[in-house]
Amino acid sequence: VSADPSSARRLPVVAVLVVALVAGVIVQRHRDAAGQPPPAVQASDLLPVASPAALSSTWYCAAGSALGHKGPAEQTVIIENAGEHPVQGLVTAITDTGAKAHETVEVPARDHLAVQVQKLVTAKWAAVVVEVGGGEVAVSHVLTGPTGTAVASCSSGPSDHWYMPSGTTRPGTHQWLALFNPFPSPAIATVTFATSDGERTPPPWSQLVVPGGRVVVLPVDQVVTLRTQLATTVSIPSGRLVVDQLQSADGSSGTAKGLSVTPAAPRPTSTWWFADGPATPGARTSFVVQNPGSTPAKVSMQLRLDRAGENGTVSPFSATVAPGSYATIDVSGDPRVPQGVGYTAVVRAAAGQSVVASRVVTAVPPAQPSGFSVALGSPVLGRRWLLPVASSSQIQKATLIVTNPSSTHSVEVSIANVAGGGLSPLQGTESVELIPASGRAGFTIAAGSGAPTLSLVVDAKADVVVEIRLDYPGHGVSSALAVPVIES
Amino acid sequence: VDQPDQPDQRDEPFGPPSVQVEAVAPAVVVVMVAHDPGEWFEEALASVEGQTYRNTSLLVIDVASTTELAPRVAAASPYAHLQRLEQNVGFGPAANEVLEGVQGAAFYLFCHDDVRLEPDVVQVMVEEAFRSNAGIVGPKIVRWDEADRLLQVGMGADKTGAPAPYVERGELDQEQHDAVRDVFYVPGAATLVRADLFSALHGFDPDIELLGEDLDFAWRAHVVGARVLVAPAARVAHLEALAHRRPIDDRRRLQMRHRLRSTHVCYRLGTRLRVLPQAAAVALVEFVYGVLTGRFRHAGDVVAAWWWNLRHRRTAVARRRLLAAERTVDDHDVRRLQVHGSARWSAFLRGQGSAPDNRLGAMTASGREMVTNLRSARARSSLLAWAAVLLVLGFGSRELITSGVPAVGQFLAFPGHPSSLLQQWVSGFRSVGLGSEAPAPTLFGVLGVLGYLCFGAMGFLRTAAIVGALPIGALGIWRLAGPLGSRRARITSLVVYVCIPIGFNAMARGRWDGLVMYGLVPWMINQLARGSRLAPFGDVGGLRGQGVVDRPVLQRILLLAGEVRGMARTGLVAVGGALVAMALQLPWSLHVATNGWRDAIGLTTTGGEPLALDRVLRFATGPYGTSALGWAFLIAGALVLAIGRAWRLRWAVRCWVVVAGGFAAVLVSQGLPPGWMPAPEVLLAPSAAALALAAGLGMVAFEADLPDYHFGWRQLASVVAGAALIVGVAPALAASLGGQWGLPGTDFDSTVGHLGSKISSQGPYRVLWVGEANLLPGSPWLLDEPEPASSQQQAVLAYTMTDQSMAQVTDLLPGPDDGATARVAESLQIAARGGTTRLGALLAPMGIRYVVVPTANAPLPYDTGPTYHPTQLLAALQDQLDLADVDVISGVAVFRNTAWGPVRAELPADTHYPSGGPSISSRIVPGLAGARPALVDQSSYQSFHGGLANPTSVYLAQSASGRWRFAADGHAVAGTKVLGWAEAFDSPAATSATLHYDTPPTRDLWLLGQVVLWLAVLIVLFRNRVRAQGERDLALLHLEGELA
Repeated sequence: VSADPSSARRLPVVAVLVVALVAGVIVQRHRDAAGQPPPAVQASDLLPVASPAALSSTWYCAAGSALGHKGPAEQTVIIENAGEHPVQGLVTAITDTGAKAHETVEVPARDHLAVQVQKLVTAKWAAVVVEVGGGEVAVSHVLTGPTGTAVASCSSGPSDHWYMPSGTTRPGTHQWLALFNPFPSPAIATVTFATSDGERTPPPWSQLVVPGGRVVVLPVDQVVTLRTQLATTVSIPSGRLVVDQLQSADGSSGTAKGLSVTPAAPRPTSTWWFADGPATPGARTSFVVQNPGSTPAKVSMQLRLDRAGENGTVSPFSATVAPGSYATIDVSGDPRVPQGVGYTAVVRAAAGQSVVASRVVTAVPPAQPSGFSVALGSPVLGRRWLLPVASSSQIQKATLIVTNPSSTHSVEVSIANVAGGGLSPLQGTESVELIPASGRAGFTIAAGSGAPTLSLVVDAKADVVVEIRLDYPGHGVSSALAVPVIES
Repeated sequence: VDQPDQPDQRDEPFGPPSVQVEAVAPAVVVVMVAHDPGEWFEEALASVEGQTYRNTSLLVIDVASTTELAPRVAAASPYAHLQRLEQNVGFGPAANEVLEGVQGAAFYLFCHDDVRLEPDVVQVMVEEAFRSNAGIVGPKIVRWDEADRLLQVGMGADKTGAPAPYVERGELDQEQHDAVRDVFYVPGAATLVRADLFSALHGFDPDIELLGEDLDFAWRAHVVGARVLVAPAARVAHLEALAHRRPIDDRRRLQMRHRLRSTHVCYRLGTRLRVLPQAAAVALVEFVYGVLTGRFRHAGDVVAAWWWNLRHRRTAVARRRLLAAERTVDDHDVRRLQVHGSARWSAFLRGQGSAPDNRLGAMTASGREMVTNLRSARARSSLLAWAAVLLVLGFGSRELITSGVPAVGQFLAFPGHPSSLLQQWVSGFRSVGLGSEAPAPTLFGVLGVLGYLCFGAMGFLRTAAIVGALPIGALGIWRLAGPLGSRRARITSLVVYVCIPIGFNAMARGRWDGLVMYGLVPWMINQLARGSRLAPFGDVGGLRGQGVVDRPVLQRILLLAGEVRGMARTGLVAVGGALVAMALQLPWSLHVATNGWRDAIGLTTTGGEPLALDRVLRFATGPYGTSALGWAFLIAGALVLAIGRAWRLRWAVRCWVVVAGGFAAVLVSQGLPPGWMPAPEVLLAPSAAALALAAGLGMVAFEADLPDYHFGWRQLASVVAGAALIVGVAPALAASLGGQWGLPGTDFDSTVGHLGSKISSQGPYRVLWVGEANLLPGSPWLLDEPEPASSQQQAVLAYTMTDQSMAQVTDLLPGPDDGATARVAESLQIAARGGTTRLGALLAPMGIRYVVVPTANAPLPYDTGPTYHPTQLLAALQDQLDLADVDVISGVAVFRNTAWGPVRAELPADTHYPSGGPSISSRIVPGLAGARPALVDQSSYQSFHGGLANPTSVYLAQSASGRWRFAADGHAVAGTKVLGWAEAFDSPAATSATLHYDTPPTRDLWLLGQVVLWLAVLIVLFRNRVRAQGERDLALLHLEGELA
């Protein structure tokens, strides 16, 4: 019908509907393109973090003994309160038998407190939960045993995975894994070791039940014997745990006598910063990169030598790490790295890949100071770092290393001791400018430097990485990463 | 009484002198009972006068006519005999006069005064009586003015005497019913009765003055062994003029009570004991139906029938004894002559609920139309379509009907007794969350009343409220498409609406709001459409010219969407309806208006799956509609835009505006923060109804407009649309196979519902549900953290709380937060930020004993919807030192709060309650963990009592209010607000104590006003309905005229 009176109305209506449909398609495509942002990775997922605005914070110190002087790693907990208000706290010691003991503490403002675990409980192994009613608090533990003294920060949260790239069970050494379950419910864990022969899960440690409110310490060297290097993964399919790695060496069989405690890394990430690259004569330094992923990871490690103008630069190290395996980069044996020159290092994985990196420093006598240390790198940067250490009277030499990771900007930093309700700037560190690229500064803090204990806070105008190297006379060396203060 | 002459003694027969054979013909006396006959009377008399059967005489019984009939009778039939009764005793008693006043007759032909006999009627009937040895013979009764239209050809009846016509009224007489056959009774318009039989049965029942005497007499004839036949060759026209002479309700009442009377009289004791309860059951259903539908007079007639028979039981016994003396046939044999089943129930199912029988009563126009058309192909197609729809819906809901609807999403359990709902409705305190002072939704009151109407069968009510939404929606679209004027269009709309997956998806996602919307939207649109009065929903615009004016597109669309007058009326209807609805919901609606509309719409998401445009266009908000066939109905609905004309096109445009508007609303809602817009099913339900109507309009256009086009692409488009319509049904058929519309086979009740059952003595507690909003029961609150903030509502975290077990329907439509419930969110957020590892201690003052995180809509592997793992939330909960994992089935994570305290706890008298400030310590009540429960006995909703062991401080983990009344040993104790939100009461000694919420009198006044308003609206609606029903009935009777 040619004279359809409705056709004149029909066309615009259909046109409008078509236009609306097209508009909808365009909006949809735009929305699809925008997509959902990937969930942000919080710093607290990567390493112990002190949150300044937290109403309370809880710290978990998994490894340590509480037998008095007979213990292999007698544990003392150091609580540093960098805030302006005193905080109430509850220290709970939980043993490997499930016994518990509590102590209520109050940490004054800008002060620190040490609690010897053995005064709460007596046990071969005792973990500690420190609950404090405020933020800007950091907790570390100092372990002292027959072979040496070690310091490390405690963990600020549990996780369902833990990674420890570096470990050894060679003759003359012991290695323990402390699996701490502070929660009411049991957890199930599986411990897998990556060795030079491949991955291995000891049957007793597959689907291992860690009862609630208990610490279980696994003697790794008794099960995975005589391995120069092994990387460890603890998977917890049910529940969540806190894991510390404890290693000791008695100096026999060519080992460097000492004690090391290392908090495990809760997750891999793409970048690991190492503030300290020691230039100790006779010491050997290597970096171990663990790849817990399912695909090979390409990693590169860049060293920035101190005084780059004089010492030049080092071409990056690169390695491909097989899935479930590790790679060791021996820096000391590489001719590209000049002897006696300190450095800072950064390990980067290729885009989209994640690894865990640690540094192992071994100084066998006659190198002085002798000992060994195992430390994870820092996966985050920060402007404020807390460093509760220990009684400075036991320390022969403490070296605080602050690294400016920027290649272009200098950073002004200041260092203060937290004690007695105030911040006491260390002499000569009120305001230090770290130049870019090779901006690394080491501040030697001698014993008796003015405070009976050592509890530091580092403030920077830009992001830095802070680490401390401790020399204990006759008790080896220790390296500890400071705790960043980051809003979680 | 004048004696009618013997035929051979008549000197002036009606016709010429008879032949010899006629001289021996048995005498037939035509007994015409007349009462105020109209102008037709002469014609009736003349028809008797003109009978070819020569041995016929006429006896007219004038039953107290206002004007004596003698002159008229004498003029029309001078040889007729006339007997006048001074009182209107009714047809039967009047006819009984022949028992005393007539001698020698072989047959009586009882007639109404508005019948017109064909000349051979008496001849044929007498011949058939002899031929078949019948006691009663009836003719074929046709319309007075349309002799080719049948009214009755004999009648059947069921065991209760309910009539079952053998033919449909108005059916075209094509000799299809012309076979002589046995019937149960013949209508009293013209009935030939053997005189000896009439005498043996003592005539008609004298207590049945009118209506029903024919059934009663024929029934008794059967009992004494007489045959009752219909001889269709005898044709009698019936004017059915009784409607002009008696009120309608009187006739219905008479019919009902006389039918029951016959049942009493004609059955023996054993049969009565069996049949009467069945009749009572049918009467009860009819009574309830009458009350519910506003047919109060009808319901009253039902009651009156039984009451009348109770009062006349002695005469019934007497009649029964008389009959027993003559009985030769057992009830069992009589029963064989009756129709099986219930004729009334069958009539009701066919839409004759208001039509007690075919002759009498108020048969509705629609029912009559349906009955009339039952035998037509169009009616059969409608019935087939409905049968198919109901079959699919029933088949698809079979598991839900037989096993119950799982408690998923908004399909919450109903309380065990309706009183619980009513108590919550009248209370001014809502227990949802941590409690709040707010009016309860009217829904609770309505459900409570319905629960009582269901005799407390709350499970049945719940299933009906959920499953029934689908057929209600189907019925709504059927009504909506009715004015389109095409049965095929109606069926098309019905099928499209049922098969559009929005209802199924609402069911699968546990969205009661979407389901209710699906059920109600067609009815709402129907009202709006009729409110517009635009053709075909009214008389406006039906004949308007089709002139095209050059206007901007937008203006043209507005014009096409409806004339301004129509739109204004539609808007008026919409606004007015909304205002009335709000008034009926007072005071809850007032609260909604003042506190935002979140309470009304709830927090909705798409369960973590974004609703892309293609899914929206296919109504695939859930598991159904995602296939390519989901596009089919869009194609079918678009046909009318291509071929429609006139009002078809105009309404099609309106429909598509609604369709597009729904789509746009869903797309827009995807980009809005959660809680701003209702669920997608709610937004799309109007689109579904509009699309279904558009598809129906397409069918109308196919029938009415397409033939006017030359052959071309439109014909091809019609074929495509038809094919799309057919294939679009397939997904719905497939969806029905599962039997539960995508709902899981079970719910979390078996897992979570009994968490604390073994330790319930430790006091009342709450369960905190946290997780993706769509997986939580009831109406959860938004939880901003710990998951990444999202500006879209594809998946959001939310939380809600239940008392000790699973949520109930009373947890829907939560009240406002008085500042208490938000503390739960604050606690969760503190934990999520790593601010505490003692979340349990923070939740303990709220009485929270368990934290439940569902990750699916049911325990695995029974889950059916999308799953969502709130990783950070679970991690935060796992990081808590006082939350213990509880091993439960997969699909849900449960944490036990080791620091919990009872909702009502006894604490030491010197308990120092913290301030509830921002710090952790100020939110924790010391000594609450493991505290002794207080006031453990519950009297009613928010009313508790019990003994207190010591001088104590009773802590109440409910939102603080000045209306909590605590009494220790009968002495009132004032409460103290603690923690900034809770309340505590100091009891000075060990004693008995009571605690209850004192609902303010204003709430009672509000409720009273609400009840009055509801009653007023219901009365008005019922009155309008009754009035409209009566008008329809009278109009119908005026048209057809019903006469016994």
